[in-house]
Amino acid sequence: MTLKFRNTGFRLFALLLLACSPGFSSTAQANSRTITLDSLTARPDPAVIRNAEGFYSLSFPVSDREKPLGAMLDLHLINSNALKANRSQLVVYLNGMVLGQIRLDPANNATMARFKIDDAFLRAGYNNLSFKVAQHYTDNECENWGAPELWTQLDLTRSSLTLEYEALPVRENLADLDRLINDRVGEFSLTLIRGHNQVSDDYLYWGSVIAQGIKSRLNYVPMHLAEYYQPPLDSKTADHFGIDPKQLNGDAIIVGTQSEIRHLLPEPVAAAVTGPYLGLFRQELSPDRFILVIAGRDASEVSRAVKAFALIGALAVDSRETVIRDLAYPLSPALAKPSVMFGHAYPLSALGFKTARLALDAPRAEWLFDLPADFYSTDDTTVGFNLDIAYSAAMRSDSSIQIRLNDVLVSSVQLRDESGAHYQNYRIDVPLRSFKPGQNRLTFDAVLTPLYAGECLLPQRNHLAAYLSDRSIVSFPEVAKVVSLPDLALQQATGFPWVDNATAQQSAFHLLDPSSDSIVALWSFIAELAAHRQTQILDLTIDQGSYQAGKHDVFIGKLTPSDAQQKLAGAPVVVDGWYQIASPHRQTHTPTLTGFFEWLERILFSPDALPQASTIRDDNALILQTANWGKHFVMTSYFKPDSEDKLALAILTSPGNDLTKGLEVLDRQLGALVAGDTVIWDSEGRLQATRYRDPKVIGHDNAKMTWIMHFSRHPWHWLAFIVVVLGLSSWLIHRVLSAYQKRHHA
Amino acid sequence: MSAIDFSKRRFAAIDLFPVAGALLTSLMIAALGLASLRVDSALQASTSALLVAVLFLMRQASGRDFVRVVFLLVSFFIAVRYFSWRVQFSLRYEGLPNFLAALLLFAAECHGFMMFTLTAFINIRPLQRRSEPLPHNRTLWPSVDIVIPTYDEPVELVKITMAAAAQIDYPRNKLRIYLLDDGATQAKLCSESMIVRQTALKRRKDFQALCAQMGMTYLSRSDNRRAKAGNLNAALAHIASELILVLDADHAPARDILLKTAGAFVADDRLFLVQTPHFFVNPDPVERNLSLFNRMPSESAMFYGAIQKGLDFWQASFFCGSAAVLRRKAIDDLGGFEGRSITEDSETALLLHARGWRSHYLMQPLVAGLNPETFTSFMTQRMRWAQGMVQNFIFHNPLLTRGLNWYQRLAYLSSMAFWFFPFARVIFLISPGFFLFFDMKIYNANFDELLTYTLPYLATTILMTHFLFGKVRWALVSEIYETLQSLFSIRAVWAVLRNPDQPTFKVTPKAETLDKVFISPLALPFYWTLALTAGAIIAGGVRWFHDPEHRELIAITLAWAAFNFFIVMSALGALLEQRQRRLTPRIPVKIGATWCRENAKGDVLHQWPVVIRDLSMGGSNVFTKQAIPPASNKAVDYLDVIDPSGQVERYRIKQVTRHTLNDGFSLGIKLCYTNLEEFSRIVRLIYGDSERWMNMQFVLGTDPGLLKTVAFVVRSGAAHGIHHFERLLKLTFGRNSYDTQV
Repeated sequence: MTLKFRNTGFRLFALLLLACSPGFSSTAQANSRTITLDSLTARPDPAVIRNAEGFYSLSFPVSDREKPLGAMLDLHLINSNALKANRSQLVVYLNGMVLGQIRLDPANNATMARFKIDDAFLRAGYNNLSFKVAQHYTDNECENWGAPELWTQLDLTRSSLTLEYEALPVRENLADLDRLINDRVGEFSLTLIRGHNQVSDDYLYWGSVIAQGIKSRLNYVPMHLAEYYQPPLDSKTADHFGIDPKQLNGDAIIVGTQSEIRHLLPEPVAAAVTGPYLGLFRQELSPDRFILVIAGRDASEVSRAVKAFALIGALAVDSRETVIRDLAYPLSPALAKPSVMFGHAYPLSALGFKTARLALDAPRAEWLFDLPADFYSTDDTTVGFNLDIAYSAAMRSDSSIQIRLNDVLVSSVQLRDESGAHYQNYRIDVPLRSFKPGQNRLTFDAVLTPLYAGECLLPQRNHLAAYLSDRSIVSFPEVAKVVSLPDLALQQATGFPWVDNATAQQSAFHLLDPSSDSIVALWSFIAELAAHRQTQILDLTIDQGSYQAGKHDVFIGKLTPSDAQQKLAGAPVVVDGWYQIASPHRQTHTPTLTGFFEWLERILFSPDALPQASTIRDDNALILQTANWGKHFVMTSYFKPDSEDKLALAILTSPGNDLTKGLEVLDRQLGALVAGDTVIWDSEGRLQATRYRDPKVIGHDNAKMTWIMHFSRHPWHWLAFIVVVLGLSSWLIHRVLSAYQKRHHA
Repeated sequence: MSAIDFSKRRFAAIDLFPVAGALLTSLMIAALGLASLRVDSALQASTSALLVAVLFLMRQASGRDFVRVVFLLVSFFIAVRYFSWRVQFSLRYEGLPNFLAALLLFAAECHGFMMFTLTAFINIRPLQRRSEPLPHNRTLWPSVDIVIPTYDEPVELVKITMAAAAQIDYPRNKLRIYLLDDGATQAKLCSESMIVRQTALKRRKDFQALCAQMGMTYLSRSDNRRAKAGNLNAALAHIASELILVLDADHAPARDILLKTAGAFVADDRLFLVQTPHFFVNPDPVERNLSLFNRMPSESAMFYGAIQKGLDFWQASFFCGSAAVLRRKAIDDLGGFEGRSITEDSETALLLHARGWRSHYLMQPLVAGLNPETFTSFMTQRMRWAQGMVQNFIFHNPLLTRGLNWYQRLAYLSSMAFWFFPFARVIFLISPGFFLFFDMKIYNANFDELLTYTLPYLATTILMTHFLFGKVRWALVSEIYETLQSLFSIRAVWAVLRNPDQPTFKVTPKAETLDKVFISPLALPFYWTLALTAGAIIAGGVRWFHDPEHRELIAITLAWAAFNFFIVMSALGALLEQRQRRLTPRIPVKIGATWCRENAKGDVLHQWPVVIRDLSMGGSNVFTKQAIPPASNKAVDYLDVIDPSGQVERYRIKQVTRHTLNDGFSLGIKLCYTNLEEFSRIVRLIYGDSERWMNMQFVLGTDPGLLKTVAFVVRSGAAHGIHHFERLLKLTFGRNSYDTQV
């Protein structure tokens, strides 16, 4: 609704009233932020609503830390010029309530509409904004419901939502942690404050666990971390925190032993640290921000406290502060949840899928799941789905459910029975090689057509529905744990091999320099690894050392080539104190051995009958030179010297460059481009991926699958083996038979 | 002695078998490991294609020992790869009915795989044995008792065998011949039935007279307990020679049978058996009804021409009940002929092998016998064999019987396990219907897997069978014979499994005649089978249109059903019994002779050169380029034939028929005899020369090639199957014409 004022006098009187009102003199400050609607969609699909009746919805968050005062929706749209104005409209709903409606005018078909949203319609959490159209091209029912003329497109890029809100003061209660740290807050910034000048290995460990604890609460929004050392302030008083507010860009966490951080804490708080301690406080100058204190009397208590922070759930502690007496968490089996293990079968309900109704208004069901990084199978291996599907009657037999894996169609279920059906055990098999390591998305898209449709019919669509039950079972076959490493793309997708499921026991993380951005980069990297596994990785080895025998090593930071020579021996990017650059110079094309039938067909019938697939390998030119990486960032992975199966990863930049920013750019913009064993990128989003050295295949647990993989990739070895074994056996058998014949039938 | 000599001797003295065995075991484990690896489809396809191509190229070189080993090992590798895939990937539980049907099919395939493996083992090095000569000093020759057990065979038939036995070349003082008449036991002579009494009495009188004439001993006993084994054991009390030659009542021996077999017993005192092949001069019902006789190797050629040679290599060739010489001492060692099962012959051999006795198989036909004439008789015989071998498997399981070597165990297992084929055959007949009718998931495989695993395995089995038995068994013949037997043998074998002691010895009827063409009374189950198979094909055709996403699997199953349909049609062709009026079969020969016409005084009036084209006790056919007029009442015609020893044998003949040909005349003659001596000479002419059987066997034992043999059998089977239905329609719709010979 809009307010309209008739004359100036009345306006002045209204202003006077407002000025005297308690709300106006309140210390609460109103804020606003504007977001474009396309930032609320995960995928860049155009928002086109088709058919005589269509639907589009999206959700926008309202943070628990804000009190919404109202909102304004500016909606830009364009509709088909074939519509009938008297029968076409768009209705906007917010959380199920009608916000407004506009006529879809075929003549003036580009429309901008503004909807004022009262605060009563808004709620904390996710608010559903949906657009429903009714559009027709005839004046009666004799029309094709799905005619191509029937469309309306929402311009999500120009459409925006402006939210006015009041920042709420933080409630000093640990139970509010989940409300204070979540996706609805938006981009989350947090500063870790230490009270000791030296960066200790314990501090690095604490920060990595805290970063994981933060990241585990954020699924979609980026996390901005910072850290610094706060020396004692002269202006500190006993009842206040000794923190320089100019250093903070958001919420803060103070972490350290009691002795280290005493000068940062109010005396009562410092005195309350009688064990592993967690305490949530409001920032004095910014009451809508918090300070979380994680402390202990010694390092081990601080470690327990940070773990408790990472593990603590919602509504667990209804208090401002607590002291942890004991902490126990399972170490094995080292599986992240939800996990999939090969050789097992699972009901979909156990893997996070809920029974889905597929209908016109919600034709898609999606299931996200993670596969381990190091699986290998033959091309005949399949993942079996025993689907429990039901669909309604009176649907035309060309209705179907399209099943896509990572947006590629892999199977389809035709709903051919016009009287409806319930399949409790509908079997489909998807080749395992269609799946990828890490996250996979399986979508079920229903394409439903009513049995009776056409012009001049009143089509019935309310019954169009199919149900996919979470009782459906997915069976994963046995596979080998074999992988070709190093592979940065695999690492980006799964975190492998630095984390394997829910453990990082096989890895050691090392900080190369004690600058803040390097420390934060290290923590962010670890937090991303844990986010891949959707669990906290607490068995970290983290220090400022060098190679550890028997482990994979991750190095993050800045260093000079001479330092690199000592600490990163064997790294391909630094050799003998010189920087080494690989530049693709030539390519080696290795024709893949085609099958016998393919070869025969090509020879006999047509040289072009079948393309012969080749593997292409870059043969690089290697240049050793003195110029450092400057503003560039480098990530390189290689086999450690004198190790057959242990790798090292180095994320580096030159002194003076902000490594945290570099990692942010890589994660947000360039993740899909990462490949090979070395990538170099800059903060403007340019990236070069190279492979310095040939990968090696490593694997364990299943010798049989390793052999299968080897022979499948090297057919001539397979043939040679057969010839040798059978030939030798034949010769021996012949000799034995001859000797037998001589002995018994001389 | 040089250092090299010393090391060679030392090396030769080392027993290499354990070393070779260990090495071979390791290699076989590696081969099995390789066989179980499921590589990518493309690699599997190319490997299979390559290996099958190798088999195809090697198939003509079956005579070379090393090539044979390579062939069989490659075949085994392909088979193991198939079964490894079959077990790991194609068995899936999709509901109890599907699973049970899938298990049935898998069990049938397991039987096939087991037989595949055992057959390869048995036939890896067939032994072509030569006959051992007897010593020059005849006093060292062993004494021989010839026993001819008989039950209900016609006297005229047994008389032939007796006459041939009486003319065996062997010192008379070392030879005794006994007729063991179980058709005139005391029990029969005292039977309550007058017909039985009279028949037995007449039989006894006739045989006693014959024995007296021929200088043989007539033996009978009080009852028929334990059938043939009991008959032989009863005779043991009356005979005492070192060797026993056993001849069935219809097995006329050649003159040189003992000259070729007795020598081995002198050379080896642990030898208990020399078995020779059963050679048949008439077609079995299948050969006759499908017009296959003398156009392809006979059904028995595979066993006697190949398998027994393989068994002989492994010291496991067994006694087949006749045409064999046994050592009396070995029989006594066992306490007589074993008779717990109704195939007492193989049972006896197994037990003697277990006691360390040895056997020989001599691949030279030295007797000529008769096949059953009707399919009913044929099935009586085959069911007895099936039941007997299954009894042996139960009573004397070769895997558990003490005393046998490991290779003998496998050899006997192969011989016994084969007889479980009816179960596999029936399952293979009905399995396509499970899928085509009921959409049962009995074989979990996609089209690519069928092409890369199943098809190479099928090709390998065909190629291996052709490689091993191409000259003695043509393609598809086994399928027809086994299908014919399976529907009846399955019940017989099942009865034995339920009650191993239940089966009784049933003598195979011989020398039957068929006056008309008729459909065998045993055809009904095949009508049902054909109807089911046809229904499956129709169901498959319907599904082809209604189930397009499964077309590939439907096509393969339809092909399988069509194959079954053809086999059952061929089986029905064999069940249309053709006319056969001859009591004694005509044996094709090519013997030069002289037709001599004399007057009553013995003066030669005329002589004509002729070629004898066939011979039988009832008559003969000769060819002449010149016309031979019928003899007058005063003239007598003779046929002068030079026997293998160079002497001229004269036979009185009478012209019966005459046909003019393009290049001469075909004359039907009757070989006349008025006394036993003349009869015996005719017997000697027809049955005395073992070389004749060798030549017949050699002519038929050829391999025209896989495709030609398939085409031949397909044409024959299809044609006769159609004729069967023509006959059936005529019978059904009223026209009872039995005269048309097909």
